[in-house]
Parts: sequence; C-alpha cells; structure tokens
Amino acid sequence: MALNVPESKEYLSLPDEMFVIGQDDAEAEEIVRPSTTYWHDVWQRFRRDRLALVGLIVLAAIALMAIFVPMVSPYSYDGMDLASMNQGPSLQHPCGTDQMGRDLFIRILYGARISLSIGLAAAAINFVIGVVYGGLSGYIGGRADMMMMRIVDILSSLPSLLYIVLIMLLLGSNVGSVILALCLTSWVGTARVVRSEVMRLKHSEYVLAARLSGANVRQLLIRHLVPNAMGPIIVSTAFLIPSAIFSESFLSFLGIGIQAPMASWGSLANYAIPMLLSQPHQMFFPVLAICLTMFSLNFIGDGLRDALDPRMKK
Amino acid sequence: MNLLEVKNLNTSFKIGVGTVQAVRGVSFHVKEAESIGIVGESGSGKSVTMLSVMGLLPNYATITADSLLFDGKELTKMTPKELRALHGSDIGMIFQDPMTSLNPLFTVQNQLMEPLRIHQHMNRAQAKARALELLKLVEIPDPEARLKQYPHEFSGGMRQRVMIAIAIACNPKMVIADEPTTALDVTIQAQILDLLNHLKREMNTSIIMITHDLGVIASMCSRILVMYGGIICEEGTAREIFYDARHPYTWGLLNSIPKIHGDPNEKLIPIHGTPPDMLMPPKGCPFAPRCEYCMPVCREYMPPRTVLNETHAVTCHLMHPKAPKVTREV
Amino acid sequence: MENALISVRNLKMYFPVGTSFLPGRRKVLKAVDDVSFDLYAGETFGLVGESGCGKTTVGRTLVRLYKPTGGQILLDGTDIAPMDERTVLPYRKRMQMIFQDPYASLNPRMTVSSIIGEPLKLQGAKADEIAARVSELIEQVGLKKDHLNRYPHEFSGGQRQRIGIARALATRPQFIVCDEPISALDVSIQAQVINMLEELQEKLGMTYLFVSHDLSMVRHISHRVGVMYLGHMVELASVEELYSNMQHPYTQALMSAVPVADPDLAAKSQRIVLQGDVPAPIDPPSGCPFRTRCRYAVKRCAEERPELRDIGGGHLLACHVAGK
Repeated sequence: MALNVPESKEYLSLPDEMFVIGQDDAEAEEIVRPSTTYWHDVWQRFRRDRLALVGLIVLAAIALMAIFVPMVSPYSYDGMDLASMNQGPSLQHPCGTDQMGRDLFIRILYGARISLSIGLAAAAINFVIGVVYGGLSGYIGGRADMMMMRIVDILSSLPSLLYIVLIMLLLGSNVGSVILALCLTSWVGTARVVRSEVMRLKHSEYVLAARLSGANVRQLLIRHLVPNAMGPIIVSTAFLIPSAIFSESFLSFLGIGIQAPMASWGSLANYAIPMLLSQPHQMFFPVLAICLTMFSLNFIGDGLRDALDPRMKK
Repeated sequence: MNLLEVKNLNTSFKIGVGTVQAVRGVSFHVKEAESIGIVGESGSGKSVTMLSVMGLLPNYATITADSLLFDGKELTKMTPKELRALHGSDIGMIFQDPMTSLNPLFTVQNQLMEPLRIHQHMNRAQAKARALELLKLVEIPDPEARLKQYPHEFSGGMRQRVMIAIAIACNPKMVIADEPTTALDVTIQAQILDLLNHLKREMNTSIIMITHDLGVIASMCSRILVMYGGIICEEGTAREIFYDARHPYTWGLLNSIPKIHGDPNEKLIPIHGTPPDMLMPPKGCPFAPRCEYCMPVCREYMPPRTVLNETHAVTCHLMHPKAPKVTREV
Repeated sequence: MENALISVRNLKMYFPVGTSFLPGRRKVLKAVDDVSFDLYAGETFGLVGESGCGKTTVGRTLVRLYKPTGGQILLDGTDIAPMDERTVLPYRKRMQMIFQDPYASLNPRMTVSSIIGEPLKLQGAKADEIAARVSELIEQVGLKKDHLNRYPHEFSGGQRQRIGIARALATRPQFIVCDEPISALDVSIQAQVINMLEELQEKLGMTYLFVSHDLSMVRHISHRVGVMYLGHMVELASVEELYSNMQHPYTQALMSAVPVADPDLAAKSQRIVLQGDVPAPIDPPSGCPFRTRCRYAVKRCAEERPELRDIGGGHLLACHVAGK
C-alpha cells in the first residue's frame, strides 16, 4: 500500500520495542536531495530540447569538418583545375566545382571557417564591451547612466549599412575590418540587457551584504552581479552569433565583404549568380550551409533561453 | 449536511528530478456555513489540497481521489467547463496576492460585472447596480468613484477588498481564502479579518481559510485541520486544537510562537530540523525526523488516523495502546 | 545609564522620486524624518511599524548602506553619518546585517563556504584562516561542515537564514541589524532563529537592532522598543513599560490588531480597527503623521508636529493628546 499504513490487527500486534521514544536528532538537518549546481540543471533542461540538441550536433559537425577536412583534403580553396570546371556533385567533388574548377565543398568549408570565426569573434567582443559598459552604467546609475544610455541610443540609431560600407572602403575588405564593422555598434543590445539585469540585481540583499562587507564596484560586478546576470547575457550573445554570420554573408554577397580568392558563403553565393540557371548547385550548397548554420544557431539560442531561464518558457 | 466531502485525495507533481508527492491521502469535510482553517507550513500541502479540489493545478500535476463531493455533485466526474462554471458562482476564491488575480487592464467595475453577467445572466444595468452594492458591502469608501478605477489605483488592503467582492459576487456556497492577509500589514489585516467575519455571518457561506498564522485561525475558524508533509496530522475544533492538542507537531507549533499576553521572557521551544523534502518523503510518519517523541514504528509505518471523538482525530503512533503516554510540555 | 554604543540624532533619510533633468524640482520621499534614539551595548532594540514606516531604512542607514540626508550617527562618539564610502569602511566592520528574505540574501552562484567566507576575504584574510573560521561558523549556527560545498538553493528557508547569520558573524561585529529576519520563515523555524540570536547575544555580547512588524516576537526578544509611523518615531519605551502602558493611539491600535493565537482570548478581545490606509509617504499629512486615522485627533494635531517627549522613566511619546 502506497501510504504504508499497517492493517489494524497487524498494527495492534506490533512488538513493544517499536514503541520506545528516543532517537538521535542528527538527521533532522539532513539534505536528501543530491547536490546539483546551476549549470548542471541548465544542461539537464537544455538536453531535453530536441531541436536545440540537433542544432548543437549539426553545428559541431560543421565546425569539426571546417577544422579538419581541409587538413587532409587533396584540394585547396584556391586550387584551380581548368579541366574540371562547372561539374555537378560527384564522389570526387561532393558539392561539385565552380567556374574555375575549384572544389566547392572545400571552399564551403573554408567559408565556414571564416563565417564561424567572424561569428565567434563578434560575439566575444560584444560580450566584453557589452558587459563592462552595461555593468558600469547599471551599477553607477543616476546621471552617468543617463549619459551612457543616450550614447547607446545614438549609436543604435545610426543606419548600420552606411558606416559598415564606409569602414570597408576605408580599411579594405578583409576579415578584420568585417569584424570591426560588425562590432562597432552591435554590442549596444548586450549592454542594454546587462544594464537592466544589473539595475534589477544591485538592490538584492546579497549585493547589499557584499557592500556591507566592503566590496568595491569591481568585486561586486565580478562576483555578484555579472554571474547572476549570465543567463540573459548568454542568450543575447547567442543570438548575436547568427546575426553576425548573416551580416557577413550579406556583405560578401553584395561584394563588399570577403574578396576572392578567399571564400565566404556570401561571396560563393554571389559568384553563383551568373550560373544560376545552368549550375544551380553552385548556389544551392552555400545557401544550404548558411541555412543550416542559421537554423542550428537559432535553435541553440532558443534552447539556451529556455534552459537558462525556465520562467521564460511557455 | 456536508457541503464538501474529500476522500483520499492524492496529488503529485512531476518535475525534472522526480515526483513531488504534495498531498498524500487527505480526507476531510466542510459543513454548510462552517468556517474551517487549514494550517500548515510552506510545503505542507495545504494550498495544493484546495487547488486540487478546485481543479486549478497545472497539467503536470496528477490528482487522484476516491471522491470529491461538492454540494452533492461529484467534482472528479466534471468536465473542465462544468468546473469553470462552478468557480466564481458556487465557489469563490481569494488569493494572497490580489494583484495577480486582478486584470490590470480592466476597471474594477468590469471585473466585478463579469462573473455576474456570466453566471447570473444579469444585464448591464443589473450587474452595474450589483457591483456598486458589492463595493459597499466590502466597505470601500466612495464606491461610485472607485468602480471606474483600475486595480493599480487601489492600495493592498483595498485590492483585497475588491477580491473579496468578486469572490462573493454570486452568493457562493463556499469561499476559499488562501493566505488572504499574509501580504498585508497588521492593522489592514485586522480590517480584512473583521470584514470576512462580518460577511460570513451575513451571507451564511462556508469559509475555508488556508494560512500559516495560528492567530488568524484562532480568530476566524471554528474547526481546524493541521497539515504536515502532505497529510492531515490533526483535526479538531479550535478549542481542541489550541487547548487539547494530541499531535507533537501541533504542540511544536503552539510552543514556538510567543504569546502577546504571556511572559515575555519565556523561552520559545522550536521544532528542530527542517520540513521533509516531498520529493523523497520519509517512509513512515513525515514528522518523525523532527519529532521529540519519535519511536522506531514512526520510521517504518505511516500512522493510522485515530478518532478521539466526533470532531477530534489524530494521525500519530502515540495513540497506539502500546505507546507511552506523553503530554504537551508547556 | 551607561554610554550608548550608537546614538542616532535627528536622522533624516530622503530619497528623490523619479529622475529628472532639472535638479531642484524633484519630489522627495521622506523615508526617515528626524528620528533619534540610543542603542546600548548588549541590548536588543526592537523597531516596529507597518510597511513604509521607514524602519528598514533606519536599519540600512545605520550600517551606512545609505548616506543619510541629515542628522548624526554616533558610533562610540564618532559621527559616521557624513563619511564617504572609503572612510566609513573601518567603522562598518563593526556592524553587520541579517536580511529579510533568505532566498534573496545569498548569492545563488556561490557555495556556502564562499558566501560565509566573503567578508573575511574582502578584509584580506589568508585562505587557511578563512577556511578555519568558516567551519567554526557553520557549526556555530547548527549546520554541518559537509554542507559547505553545497549551493544555497539546496537549503530550506531556516537553514539559509542561519547561513546568513554565519556570514554576519564572520568578521566578529559588535552590532547587527536584523531586518525582519523571521518574517519569511515558517512558524516552527522562526523560534529556531530567534533562539539562536538570543544565544549569540548571551555568548558574544551582541547588540541588535531588531526590525520587525511582528509585535509578539519583538516583545519576546527586545529590551526596548520604538514604534515608527510614516518616518517618525511615535513612541519609545522599555518592553515592560510599552506593552503594559502604551500611550500612543497608533501603538494601541497596532497592538490590538495582532491576531491572538488563542480562540478564547480572541473571542473576548476588542479590536481597535483603524479606518483607512497609511497615507502615501510622498505626501504626508501636516502636523502629526497619524492624525488622519486617529480617533482622538484635535485641531492642534493638524497644525503642529508633536515632539518626542519623556513622560517619565524613559518612556518617550510623540502625541499632543495622550500621556497627559
């Protein structure tokens, strides 16, 4: 029986020694639940999100291939082979070749290297600037906060395409200038998130307790405020990665991003335009790579959001 | 006649790490025009019990019961739609935080009229007149002007009055009040308790008061259920619980609060330890790990319910004929 | 009487309401207005009142989490009220605080041992010193050493509150502000925490400012009690005097509103039910703050704020009508 109530006859005939008062109170403070950390719980919740898990696997596969396949492949991203131009997918060239006979598969993987590293670099830079700027603005508050936030407003109201094109023209088209152009203002989103989290947390009692013990602003931010604001910060950064990758592809597609012979998904798609009708696979594979990466990253972002903050989940 | 009869109610929640057994075999009844109090600490299952009866739990909760009889109707056999029809008409509810149950986008008048129009099929004019009458009944000053205001324009105490007005709008047979005064200041709490007492006399409804505050229970309720670890460990009239308690947990509760009129230097006797984790409740009596009078049997078996008289029942192994006789330390 | 450990003189704490471009045109919220009292070493001073009366602000201002707008806070004769963050640091070490919400007062990302050890670490103690003190403290509050590597969410409310007490004790302060330390706890756990505070006071000679709205618990733990209403101290006396001879109409109403956990007494007792709500602190009434709800209010109450005066035996009262 679920409740473990002894049957009455059986109950009345229980032995006398069962009815002696006395126990050690040692176990009154026992904690029976196994110890778990916050990040363990987050992983448990994330794991249950199928789409996010698939996204993570696809992304990991793309990243691993981008790192290792070019090391062993007989082809290089700029190795032309005029004997095998414009071939369709085959065993030798899984994604076919382009109009210069370069292996499209390897070029897409090189593109993945560029796209993923631009995404990661942009996310890392955004994270650092956003956390420091937003953290200080939120913690100091008052007039300083107002000034800092007005600067953010101005930055975010500039038309981004305009100054991105300007920077690319000034600094030349390379990976570094693409990252610079993308990071120049995209950290304002992270900064806003961090600021609102810090504003919310700075009045919490554990922060007061730390102030009482003599913690200064830096210690408060590093030990108390930022770690507790980590969930929303990670989510906002996670969604930054796909938008940075997409922006880079977009710039390269317009022809002002990564330049030939370097390969980026955007420029690959750009080169495929003239051949669109006769060689549709040259357009299809780079676009497929962009789509897969976008979907994966967005699913991972969704999964992270739900896992980091269960309350936000419907 | 019993207005509400609950037999062997079990409620559990599936969460990530396992199943929380919030309510474990609870049976009780509420008579017509009776006010009963359910007292217990957080996690004792007192709120979950009433929410289960009302069918208001989220869908990851599993509820089983032999019978949930309200006013002769079997609640377990009702469709969600029929249950909803019952809420707000025959059963009124008052929650701890009125702000979460009032819609901030509608005026108080709108929210008062809604149940009247749905359940009582009143027309606009009738509903409006009744809404005004209700605000007067809950003693809100300047009711005509207040009707057109939004919930955020009311203070905490006034909001709770509005909640009460909505709860009693359709002359319910039973009102469930879940910690209705916990969020309020003492002087406002006194006002609300006075109002509830007054309404009870006037409208002849049953009131189920869920609270952790023994003071509130003592001034409101004629019969009391003491809950701990998902079971009812003692039930009786207010006098039986306060002056002739038999369960060590009830003793512990009474001993751990200072008396406003007693000796101020009297030492408080706390219950040591912490409440059980209902994810893994103890095998036997849930109170055993914290009980001063714990016996080996308490660890092994859930105690049976021992009926002392018509109103007083205890769920404790100390009632066993072989158990030593102990009384409350005062 | 012996010298006070802390003397509070005409303490004022105003908060600006809303931010505005134009300074000077802001509204201010007078959370604490002209409050004076003394705290003697080894005593518990209870501060009672309803939400918004300024009792928590008094506690937080005393430990200088806020910089007071005016008045003095004399700690052993030194005025710490006008000091800035840096100069107040050495004085702040002698003061600590226990917070209301055991679920919000511990950083959820830190282990228990780093929470308790943090004040020591910030003072620059060595790692092994911290470890030794932390394990001493955890046992002092009745928890076990193997709890040290767990995170706050694994503990119950009462256990968390005891971790908060251990943290407050870490730097061996003389004075602790207990800000509603039991109001978020279950009844059976409240007594555990209260008994622990009393024990620590006996053993370590601690001085407490016990901020609470629970009048029966304040009566139990305090030696002297102050009653606040809308930022003002309206009555102040020793526990015996106050609870047997309360004079202020507000104190009387507050006391009679406490629900008595005794059905026979509850049935007999006559409640003084106050009409209406506490006025908004942003727009307090003229004269006596309580006059809008007071049964005995006369014309003078609206014109002139009653001063806190001694009506005999250290019983202080701020009322034009009562106590004559």
